[in-house]
Amino acid sequence: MLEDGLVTATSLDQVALEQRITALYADLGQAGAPAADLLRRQHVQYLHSGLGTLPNGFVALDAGRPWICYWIVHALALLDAPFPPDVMPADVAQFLGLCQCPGGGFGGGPGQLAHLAPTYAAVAALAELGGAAALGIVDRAATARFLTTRCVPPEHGGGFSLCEGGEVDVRGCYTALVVAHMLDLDIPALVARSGLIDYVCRCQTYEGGLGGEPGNEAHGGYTFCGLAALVLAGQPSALDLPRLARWAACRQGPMEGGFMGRTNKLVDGCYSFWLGGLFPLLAALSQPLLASPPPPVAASLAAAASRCGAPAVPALPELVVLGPADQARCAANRAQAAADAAAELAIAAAREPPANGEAGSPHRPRACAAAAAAAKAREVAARAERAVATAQASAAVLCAEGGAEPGVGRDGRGGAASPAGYPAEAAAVGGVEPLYNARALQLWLMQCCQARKGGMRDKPGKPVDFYHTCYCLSGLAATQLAANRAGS
Amino acid sequence: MEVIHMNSASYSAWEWRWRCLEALGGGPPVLAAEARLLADLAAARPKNYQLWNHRRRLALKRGAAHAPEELDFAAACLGQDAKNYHAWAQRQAVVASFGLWAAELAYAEALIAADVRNNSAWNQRWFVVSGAPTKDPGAVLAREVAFAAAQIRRAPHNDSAWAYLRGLPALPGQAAQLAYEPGIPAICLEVLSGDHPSCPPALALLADVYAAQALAARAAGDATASAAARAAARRCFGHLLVADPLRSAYWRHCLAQLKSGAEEDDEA
Repeated sequence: MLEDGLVTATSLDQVALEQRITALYADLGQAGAPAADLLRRQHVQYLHSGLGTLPNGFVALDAGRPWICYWIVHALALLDAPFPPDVMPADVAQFLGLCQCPGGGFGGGPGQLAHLAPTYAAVAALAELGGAAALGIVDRAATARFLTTRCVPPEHGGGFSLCEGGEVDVRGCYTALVVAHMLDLDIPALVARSGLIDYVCRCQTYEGGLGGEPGNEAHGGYTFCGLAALVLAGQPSALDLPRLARWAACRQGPMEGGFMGRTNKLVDGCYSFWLGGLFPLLAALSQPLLASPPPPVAASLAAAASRCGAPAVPALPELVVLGPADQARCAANRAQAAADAAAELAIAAAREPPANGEAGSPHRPRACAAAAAAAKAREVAARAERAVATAQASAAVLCAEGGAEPGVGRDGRGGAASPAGYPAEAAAVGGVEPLYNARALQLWLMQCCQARKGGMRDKPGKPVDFYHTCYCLSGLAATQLAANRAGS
Repeated sequence: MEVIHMNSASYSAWEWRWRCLEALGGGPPVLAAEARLLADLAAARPKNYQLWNHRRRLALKRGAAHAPEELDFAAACLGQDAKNYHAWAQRQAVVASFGLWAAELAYAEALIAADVRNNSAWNQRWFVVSGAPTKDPGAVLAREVAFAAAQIRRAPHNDSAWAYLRGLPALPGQAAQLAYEPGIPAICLEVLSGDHPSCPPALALLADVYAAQALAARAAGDATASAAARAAARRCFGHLLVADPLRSAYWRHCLAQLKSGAEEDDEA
């Protein structure tokens, strides 16, 4: 990132992450570096370790055991891998059956209250396991009653509460509707009873993404839930989709290739799905819905124009615009010049004779202040210099900067033979180019989120877990599907 | 309580606990004791949905007199992690329920001063500015444009400040100000003409301003101004292909949108 000489808590975290990935991407940028492969065998082995008896550390997830089932079952399905020899799919289905509540819905474990999140996880896992035995476990009529009781009437704010007495947020809207979709229940009735369209729209913020509740900060997980819920309800255009698309596209980290969940937060592998998964939904919509601005804004502009006439259009000056690596270089040069100037001031201040009232050297306040300013400027310049290395390493692998045609790698090979072996350009449903960088996302997942021993993680330096393994692989699958469509 | 201590995500135990509180009459001493207990639990589990839901129910039940205590509790959590999603949501619920807008504006501003890149604090400012009653929305917009511009000068590549500025015309009744508020393009041009001609968020916002101006000019029947604004928007998006190549697919999409707008111009 360009730190603009102002170090804050956010920039400290971001620069620390960039230092980690610079090394990983610089390796990859070396001539002849092998493409990072998906460590399929190791991932399967890791996922198998989660079925059967879990280690003790998982007690914190006791209220979400169907989630563990879903993450592992779904991740194995994405890898097209079988169950381990000592666990039968029927065993998993039977366990999920124990979590089903007599009044409908599933709890986080046997004997717990029904809750929408484990209900989603359990139904999705059972659907993935497939077959009459697994699907027959779900009591459709009781689940329908459970979903109905979770509706919050519009006059009480709308939406869905996750469990009795539980919080109301946009996760409830998505999990309820996707369960209804998988079980072929009455979606329009749920939409009406919960005032869902209005509730979800009130969650969209000025940034374009959605928060968990009306007013909360735009967030990748909630944005996926909100858009997917409206797609299931058949009314995605109730949202300001151009603004949502802008926000989502800008959440892809330019140095990392992965997605961050919120503005100015660190990228995290799981958002490869929560944010990366927005683009196939957007691509499947009719394109005029993404035309900017949406009708209400266009109407306001027209009304203002009839009132005030044409706006004054300021002239755009000629600009010498540079790519990211050159921008970082210029910023580092400026920071170095500032550091040199501060150093000269410090030397001059140290040579000055003590002013009236000042104590003698070396405790003179002016000289001390100048020395401190010089030290700070030196540190800023050093940080700016490191940002150049990051931008160069990222530019070499994430985007073909410096005139190379898209799809042609550093070594001049084209298409699928670009630096890490991934297709550079991906087209989506209907031949429309997706609005994000599919190749950069795959590089991030392969190079930064895979652990060599198996399993996937939030980011380099973090331990693997089943949640991240599931959603990193989900994001990878979605982005490769888009790439394959481009090739076909 | 033993179950909650062992596993604070056990929503069944939390619900049972709430019913017990109500059965105990829910009087002030009971609720105060509960609040103290939650403060201890939250220190160890700052991202637990169930705990915050319980705390929210408690805060709204205890009423306005205890609102400062609630805000202090959330502020203590934000002192540990200034972007804790639940703590900000808790503050929003308390602020909106008891109408504590002015103090919250000051709180958000202090956190923006401490870290101008804290997007949660920016979102809180938006929550207050859009939620607090006002008699003069135009003056609010002008004040906020000036605030965002001043913060952009502190760190010109800070996406949070740019997103806030870009969002201001989404305030009620202000949509046309994207084309008409001169302060918005002014800060973009100040940054671009100064040390940062490649600043992506400045180019992106300026492109949006020009695109909106093209539409407004067309609606006003001024074809020359419309064409000039559209050409300037096209140049900005073109610059973004260079300055922000990772997102080139998205910027090409924006260019295509402009092109389809130009076809409508031809038809008109």
